[in-house]
Amino acid sequence: MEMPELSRRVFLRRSVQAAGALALLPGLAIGCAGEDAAGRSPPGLVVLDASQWVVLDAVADAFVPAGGAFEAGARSVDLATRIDAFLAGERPDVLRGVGAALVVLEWLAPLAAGRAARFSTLDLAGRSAAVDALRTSRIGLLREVYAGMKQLCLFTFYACDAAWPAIGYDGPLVGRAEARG
Amino acid sequence: MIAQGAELRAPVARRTHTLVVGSGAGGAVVAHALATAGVETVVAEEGGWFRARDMSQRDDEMLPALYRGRAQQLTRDGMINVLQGSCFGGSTVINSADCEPTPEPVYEHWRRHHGLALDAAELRESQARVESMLGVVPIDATQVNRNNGLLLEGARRLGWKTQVFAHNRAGCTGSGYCLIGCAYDAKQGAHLNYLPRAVEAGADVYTDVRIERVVPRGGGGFLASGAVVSRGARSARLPFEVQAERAVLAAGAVHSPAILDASGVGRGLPALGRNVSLQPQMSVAALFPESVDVVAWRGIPQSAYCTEFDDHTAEHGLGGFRFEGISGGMSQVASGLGGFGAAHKETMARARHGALALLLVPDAPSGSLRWTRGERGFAPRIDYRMREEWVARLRRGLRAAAQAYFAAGAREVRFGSEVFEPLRGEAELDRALAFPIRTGVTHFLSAHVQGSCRMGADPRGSVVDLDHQVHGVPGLYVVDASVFPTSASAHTMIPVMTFADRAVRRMLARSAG
Repeated sequence: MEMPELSRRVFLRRSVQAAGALALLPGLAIGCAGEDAAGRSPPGLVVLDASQWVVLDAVADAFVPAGGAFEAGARSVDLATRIDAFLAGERPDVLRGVGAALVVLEWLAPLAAGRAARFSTLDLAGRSAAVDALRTSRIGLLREVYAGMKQLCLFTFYACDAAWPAIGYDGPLVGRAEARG
Repeated sequence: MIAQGAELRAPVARRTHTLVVGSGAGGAVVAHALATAGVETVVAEEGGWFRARDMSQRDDEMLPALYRGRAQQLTRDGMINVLQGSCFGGSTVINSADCEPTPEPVYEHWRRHHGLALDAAELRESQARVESMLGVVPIDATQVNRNNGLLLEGARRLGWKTQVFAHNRAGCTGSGYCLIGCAYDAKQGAHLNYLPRAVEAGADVYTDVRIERVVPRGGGGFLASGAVVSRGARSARLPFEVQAERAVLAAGAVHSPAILDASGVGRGLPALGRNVSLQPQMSVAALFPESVDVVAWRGIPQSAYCTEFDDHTAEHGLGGFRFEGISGGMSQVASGLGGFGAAHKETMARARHGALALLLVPDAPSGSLRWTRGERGFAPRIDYRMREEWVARLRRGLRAAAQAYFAAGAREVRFGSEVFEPLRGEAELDRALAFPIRTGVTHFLSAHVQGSCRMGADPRGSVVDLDHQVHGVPGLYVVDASVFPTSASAHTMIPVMTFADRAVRRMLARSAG
């Protein structure tokens, strides 16, 4: 599958919004992530299509992998699906920005790390290297994509109750009997 | 009457004497005084009405609900997150409840350099009325949590001046969720005093209503138009119109000028949308040994600060820098910490032992605004330029904040950066003086956007006159942080309310006259 044509206009920095990314030309889709994307994504997605979900799932796993300091990770809380739901109230230009950021991650981030493969096909080490290549890039746009996707993934992950015990956070007090209301 | 958007089933067309656009620190004070004086008043607030029982203490629910742009309003380069409340009560619902008036040297700066003939006694009286309404008192020493206490401890060991804030809380439980709305009605925001009292006095408040244009009518007065919007997405649902003799814009420093611009009032006012101060702040996170259980997320989030480097003068206004304790939800903290993957998880696993502060560096106005209008209202474009002198002060401030944390026993200190390696001891402090600022990997926030409708005598360099009236448009006022010629204070609630109290009394006096 060929890389979608990304015109120069796509890379002009526009209203950098929730995803910290760039706005995408209308109608441009990821068109990637394999032909079986529909089979790998969950039903009932709100704003993402199946291909986008597959890429986001791989991205989220790179930002918050399982194991290490604590077991919970992006995939154990189905982070990509949670992000899809969180994005439901966003403005259309923000959603286009997220879509564009996913295109950049899928196609350009591996190249920035010296790997000729799509992001969603890389193993965790490869994806981490690709994300890190965006973080340290000399190109502002790529750094902005990194920042936007990081914000989205980490904000949503640590909003999950499942993430809290490992970091010692005991969660909201409302509804608890001992909290004064 | 308080009418929420969801209760409205048909287009609304109202007549009133005064329309107030926005229900935050400026609009609430104005609406209360007008209604109390018997002036027929309608308030239109774009955000929703959230009561204590609605505050879930969850970042992912409350940030999108209570903040402008779902708390994701950014400068055009993506570097500064510009935070503004957007709900019934505005930023007074989501601020840190710090009550800091405008320092006298700033008023003097405005008198000398911006031609504002501000009367000190008049301002003192307005401030006193505001503080009385909000119940402003000093934070008790027992309410300073470990997070803020460590900052005090470090600064004091270095012999630096420190201070504990005054605040507008009553019966605080110390839950720690001030920045996403108090679930206990302890924070005395405008939604608990000015606004309900305005309603008691006869004001009608509409929430979930966006005003987009306020156009002067040929025979006098104004026709304001906009829409009842859906909660959340803020899509237009129904037309909303108000005919008013007087209009007061209090929609905040980003949106009040947008309404003027869309109304065609900006023509002939070259300062509209210019001279914007963002007062950018940067996070400073310190990691302490495991024996130090900080638990920053409980207790009053922001209670103490270091004043050693405040430098307020009549010559330049607010200056220097300061660092203040802060905490936020885990989602915010996590996404603001540098790095990702396994290393980031390791840092988060030590969250109980982390302390957090914000370095606040007052700026000279160097931003500007433009807007596009769409189905969901105004989309602002916020351009902001960091001056070299400001960057140098920022770096000195980062060094000083880190020094205070090391003096308190911190093992490492991080700043809001994805590429700057943490400082791991006093020997590394000077690295802060070369702190890199790059789009995408350097994170700032702004909680005090000001300017954009600067007050002044000359229409060539300002938008409103000393009575807050738009130059050349009798009866149209702007009463919010947009009128400040430069940064008013490190915390803008009291300054905005003080100016609003002064403004509305002048309106009433003018009417009586």
